[in-house]
Amino acid sequence: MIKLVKNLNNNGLTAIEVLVCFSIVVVITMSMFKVVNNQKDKQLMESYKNTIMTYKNTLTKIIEDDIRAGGGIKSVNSNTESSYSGAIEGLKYSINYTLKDNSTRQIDIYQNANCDAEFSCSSSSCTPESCDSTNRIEFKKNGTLEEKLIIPDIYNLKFNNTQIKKLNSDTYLKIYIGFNHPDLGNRYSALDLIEPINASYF
Amino acid sequence: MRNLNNRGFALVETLIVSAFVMGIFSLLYTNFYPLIGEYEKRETYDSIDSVYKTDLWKRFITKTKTTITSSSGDLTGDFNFIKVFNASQNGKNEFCNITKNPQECSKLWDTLNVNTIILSSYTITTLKSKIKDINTTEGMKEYISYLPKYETNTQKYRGRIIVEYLERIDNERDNGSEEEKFYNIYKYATLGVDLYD
Repeated sequence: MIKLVKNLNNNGLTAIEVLVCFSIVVVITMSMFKVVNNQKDKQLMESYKNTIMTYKNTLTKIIEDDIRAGGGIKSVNSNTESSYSGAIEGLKYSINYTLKDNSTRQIDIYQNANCDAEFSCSSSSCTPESCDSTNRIEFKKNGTLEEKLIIPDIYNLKFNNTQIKKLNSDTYLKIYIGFNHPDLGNRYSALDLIEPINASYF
Repeated sequence: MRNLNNRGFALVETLIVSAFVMGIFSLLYTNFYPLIGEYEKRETYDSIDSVYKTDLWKRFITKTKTTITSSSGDLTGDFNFIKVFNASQNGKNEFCNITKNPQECSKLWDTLNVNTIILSSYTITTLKSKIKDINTTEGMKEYISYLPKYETNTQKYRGRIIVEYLERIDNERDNGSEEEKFYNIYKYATLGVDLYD
């Protein structure tokens, strides 16, 4: 056994071998870091997409299923657009319609584009204005608030390019809400509902 | 113990093993990478808005008792038919003429921005097998290839409607030309429907 140990190559590694190994490990680690970092970014984007998709699906299902349960839209009573006092540059879209079972619905869309801090000043002091930056949709059944769907500010998601239109000689109602995210733009998704008004086939 | 080979690996051995490992990795990469593209493409398949839009077609077809007869389509046997209506080939008029309410049908087609409608039997085994020969868009062909055969028909639907919608998206981030500001995406959905003969 002692002989065997004596015969072993106990010279260790040369400096050049250590350097080569070390540089290989560095190169591999650097390339892995880049790959992992890219994947982390992708994962973040996917989580944003997932949030948008979940929000859109919930919203679509609530509105569409309700319309179908009520036998379809009988008439669209009003359709308004106004500035929203709680936020800077905020817009509020309201749509009021009656279903074939004679119940009424109201959808309010709060599209608050910007909420930078501004100050209202009196002669003695300046205080920051209260600012509501939440983008939300309120769904009312017969005047009672049924659903309030808010996008939390942490997702940086804003409604964009909201359109409420009657199409084809007022025979169809279109509700379009673009979802805008700073990293995704408008490219990703939008709520796009088209429902017939008082259609014979519905 | 003395006879142990302590010379380590020869260069050729190392090269062969490295080449083998690289081959395996490249094989994995080439198989895995297209899956990412597939996943992104499938985000437009059966999206909730296109399914509800297709539900409007289903209601329309059911209420108007839309009829498929041998004169109105490529019948390939009893309840085993395939008929394609492409917007670019006068498909709108052709499709609306087989419904009992062409005027309303035309309005619905335009409002929903339909690009293609395919009417087929509920089970799409024949449609899937003939997909290469069918005159429709590449996107529609890919969607049909992705669909299952729907061989179990618990609701006893006679037919199936497959629709391709065109959606024009306003791309806010681009300030360039018209082509960059807007871009088209196609969405697909299918539902079982009652078609009459």
